[in-house]
Formats: sequence, C-alpha cells, structure tokens
Amino acid sequence: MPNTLTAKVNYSLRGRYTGDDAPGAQAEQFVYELAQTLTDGSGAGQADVMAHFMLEVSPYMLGGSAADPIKQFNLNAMVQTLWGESFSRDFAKLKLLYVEHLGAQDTQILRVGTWAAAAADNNIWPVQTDSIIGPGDHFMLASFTDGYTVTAATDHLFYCYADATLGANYEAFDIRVIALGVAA
Amino acid sequence: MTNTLTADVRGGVSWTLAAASDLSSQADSGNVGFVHSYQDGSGHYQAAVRWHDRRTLAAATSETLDLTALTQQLLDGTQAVTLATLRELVIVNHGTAADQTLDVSTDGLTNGLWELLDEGNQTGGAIRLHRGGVWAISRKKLGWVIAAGTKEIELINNAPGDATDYSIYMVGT
Repeated sequence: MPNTLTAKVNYSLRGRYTGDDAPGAQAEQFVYELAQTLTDGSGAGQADVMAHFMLEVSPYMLGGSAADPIKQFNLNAMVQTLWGESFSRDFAKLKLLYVEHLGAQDTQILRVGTWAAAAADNNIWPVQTDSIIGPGDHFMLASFTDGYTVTAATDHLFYCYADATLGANYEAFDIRVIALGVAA
Repeated sequence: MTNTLTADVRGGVSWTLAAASDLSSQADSGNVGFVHSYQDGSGHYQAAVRWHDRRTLAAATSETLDLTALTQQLLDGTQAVTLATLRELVIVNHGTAADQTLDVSTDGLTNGLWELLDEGNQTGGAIRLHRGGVWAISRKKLGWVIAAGTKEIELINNAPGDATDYSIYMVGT
C-alpha cells in the first residue's frame, strides 16, 4: 500500500523602507516570495517521504549527549510516530529542513547544524557548522530540485542542540522539525 | 530626515501523506508556520536596516561581503548600509545547472558570519545551497550582534564553468 505525499512550502519576506525628505516622500519596497508545491515522487519538485516532530529538548548539561536521539536526527533511519506507532522514514535525499524554536526565554539557546564532530559534516554543511536561534525563530533550508544526498556513512546527521553552556538555562523547551525528501 | 523600515516575514509547511487500503483510507496531514512583523526601531523584535541585492559570481569564484560596509542601490544613487545586528537572512541560489552549488562560508575568514551566527562559539562553517535552493534563518528578538570579528560573509560559486546568480536579503538594526 504505497503512500502518496503532497506538500506546500511557503516563505515570504516583504519590506518597506521610507524616507521623508520634503517636499517629496520616498519609498522602497522589496519582496522575496517562495511558494513551492511538492508532488509525490522522486524527481525535481517532488518528495515521497516526510518526517515531522514536536520535541522537547533538554539542555545538554542536564544529561543529554551528542548521541541523544532527541537532538540528533539520523536521516538514514528516522522513526516517525503516527497513531502512537513507529514508522520508519529513511531518506535518500533531503528536500526541505524546517526547524522552529518554540521556547519562550532568551536563554533557551538552540543550535542547529553539525555541532558534534567533523564526522557529522554532510552535504548540507560541508564543514562543521552550527547556528543559534532563539524563541520564535526559524531555520529553513530547501533544495527542491536536487535534494541533499543522504548516505549512511557520515552524511545523515543533523543536530538540534539545546545548549545550556551558552545560556545557562536549564529549562527544557519545544522545537518543531519538518523534513521532506526522497525515500531510500 | 527620518527613514523608517517595516518588514513582514512569514513561512510555513503543509502536507498530506495519504494511502488507501481495501476498506479504508488513511492520512497524516498538518501545517505549521510563523508570522512576524517588524516595526521600525532597534529594540526587541524591531528592525531599522535592510540590505538586499541580486549578485553574480563568475565561475569558480567567491566574494566577501562586509556587513558593516554594504551599499544599497536606490534610484540612480546608492546608500551606505551598516548592520549592527542581523535578524533575518535569506539567500537564494538562482543557478539552474546541477554543478551550480553555492557555499555560504566563512571557512577562510577570520571575521566570519558563522562566528556571528554561532555567537562566538565556532569560527568556521559553511552551508551549501543547490540550484534553486533557499536558506532562511532568523533571530528576531535579539539579533546576531555584528562586531569587528563577525562582520564578513563569503559566497563561493562551486561551478567550474558557469557564472551563478544569487539573491541575498538581510534585515536587522
């Protein structure tokens, strides 16, 4: 019984920059808009596997580790819970990675990337890399045509890492992660 | 003279994963998203500075942008733009060939963006954008604070034979 996946991804940034040098009025408008519909399949503009998670992440110093599955995502062997059951979600390619920080305090630091070790570098981050986002922030990366190739050796991991060493905040918080791609 | 910036950023993902068997149909569907509107200012969740450009990198070349010394085209003139904090960053790779990957890097820099985005914890880093690829990241409330040591971003066109266009948008204070 094959699954059929359809998805839509939207992003927009609109700005208006005005000046008031009389007797004129100056205005600049700029916009970036992305509206992508993904149909079921493995080609360009398509995806046939997804995983979504609403997770509570606990700061590292509370006993988490780089191997903690809550923070380390293995695209080569994801497990999605639906109806309370476990479903395997193995990606051959990653088309979209979307992360939202749902915490509320400034000191709830979330690092997204390949923090753990050079061995976790992959096709997304060619070298060890991570970036910090805070409450209400987002991280979105899309490759709708090609997708990021996932291999089991070193190219399958990314981290969402609650770092208490930076913020000295020991309260857990929620994150939301969406991944769309092509099934292995 | 008072210049004023307002900006609106929103995004989201919706999906339906469906299947049918002999006696039933099943689906997992959902949507997530966010909306944020920046008002002019330098406080929390505010922005007052923007910079955007569509640029071309020749084959197998790179360029470095200094976030404290940018130039914005306005009508037939230019405006100097200096960012003190970065709150929204969007980069779009307009390449159409498979080898037109774009690296957003600071690996060879000492004053690099990744140290900015990782707030001083890590000096190097890179993210790779494929043809048509998009990367968007935000730090809405506090922004990433730009300092002398975190002011540069390097864009690398990995295509050996093709020039590659990219667009970049920044909103901050």
